[in-house]
Amino acid sequence: MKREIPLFVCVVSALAMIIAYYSPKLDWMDDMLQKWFLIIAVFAFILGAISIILVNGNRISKQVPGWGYNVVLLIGLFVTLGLGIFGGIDPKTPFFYIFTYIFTPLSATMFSLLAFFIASAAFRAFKAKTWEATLLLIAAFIVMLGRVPLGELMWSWLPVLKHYSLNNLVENWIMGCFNTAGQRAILLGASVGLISISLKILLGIERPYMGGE
Amino acid sequence: MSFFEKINKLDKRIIFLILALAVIIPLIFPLKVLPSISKPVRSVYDFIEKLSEGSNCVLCFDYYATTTVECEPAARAVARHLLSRNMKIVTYSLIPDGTTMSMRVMKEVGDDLGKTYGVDYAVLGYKTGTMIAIKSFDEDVYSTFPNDAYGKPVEELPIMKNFRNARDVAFLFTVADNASINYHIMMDFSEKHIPVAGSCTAVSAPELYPYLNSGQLLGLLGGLRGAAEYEVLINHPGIGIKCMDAQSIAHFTIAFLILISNVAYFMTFRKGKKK
Repeated sequence: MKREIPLFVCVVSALAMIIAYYSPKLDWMDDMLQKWFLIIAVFAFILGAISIILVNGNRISKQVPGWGYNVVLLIGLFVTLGLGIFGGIDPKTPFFYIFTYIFTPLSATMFSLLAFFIASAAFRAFKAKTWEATLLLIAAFIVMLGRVPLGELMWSWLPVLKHYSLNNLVENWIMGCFNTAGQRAILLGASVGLISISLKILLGIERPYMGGE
Repeated sequence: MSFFEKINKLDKRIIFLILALAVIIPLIFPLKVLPSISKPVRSVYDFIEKLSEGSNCVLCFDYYATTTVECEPAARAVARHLLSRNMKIVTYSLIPDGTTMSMRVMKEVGDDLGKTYGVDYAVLGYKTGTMIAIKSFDEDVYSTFPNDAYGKPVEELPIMKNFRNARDVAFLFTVADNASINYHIMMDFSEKHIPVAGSCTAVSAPELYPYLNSGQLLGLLGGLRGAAEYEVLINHPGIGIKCMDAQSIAHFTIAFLILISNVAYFMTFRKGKKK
């Protein structure tokens, strides 16, 4: 029964959604299932919060190396949650200040570090060792320099090439032609793959919702 | 050890330092080089210019705090353009971070242009469920968002009087750092025929070109560059243009680093072959 019930729920829900989509007479079912989904999805947040508390609480109780970070994380969670629930999230509330002046700059800083790692990785690995790598390198150079105003300015100084717009070359040719063709192929391939995976889930052949079984 | 061998073994901390300087110096001493306008950005601007005054527009804040620096300038520029043309803006978000982000951006832009909350714009906040949330919003705004982000019933907001479902929307613009633009294309453009345009991080922009090419996406502001172009179009230089100088120098620095690493690689490779 542990396998059959989740499988039954999954197959029935999926079939109901598909039938409701194609049948105007079953609009009421579509609306009802949508509302159910929105309500169930909210519980994922509660589940997430419980999971964070359990995982970090466990690490703190066992005092594993770096457990101090888990304490900071839990303090951050409870303080932000408490301020948000009891103080609101409007501008000029403590929650708003935490979000704007602590969370946002910290998140942006973590993301910005990527640029440094990419620069270092590109320096070490981006070598024109083969014909394909050389082609990729040339395209990357044109896009990288063509997408910034300084690149366009320098292009306009070149004797013959200045008559051709660098922006046009990047937009219409590299992005609009070669890139679009490649992206479209990927998109169509991925969509076909998605349909086949959906069918497998619908038929109960794939059961990722049962813990990767 | 020869010069090229030293280059090949360059400490990554030196690369980090060079890149940091390449970003910081132009922010202190800006070059003030303006970008040219690309077709996908021009399309968005032209469409808004042609919209009749007072049209209902939706602005979606679908980006996380991590990409604020890259995404927010576009949100600000488009919000400013819409409000300056007296459009009515309703914002919502498919990302939890979006609520606070939209509150801040809309308040700052709205106050700057002398617009009133609830009359000229409204912030509805976050709704979980991505595509289902979009579908629900398109079918009935009131039941999807009974209250706005400030907890006020949406029925009490004057702007919401003529804003009940997708049929009342003249234009939708989404600022996203994830697949939200694709969802809006599927749900809003394909099903409800709402003109959809968007802004995304520069790294995601190439994925959206097939939609631009097919006409499903009206226009696109790709990364900071797209925002800078839009700021030029609305004649209001902001953070997008300022940051483009830093991005210009950073791109040139990375290109130069790749170039010298290739020269060093081939010089040492040739030397090794001779031996």
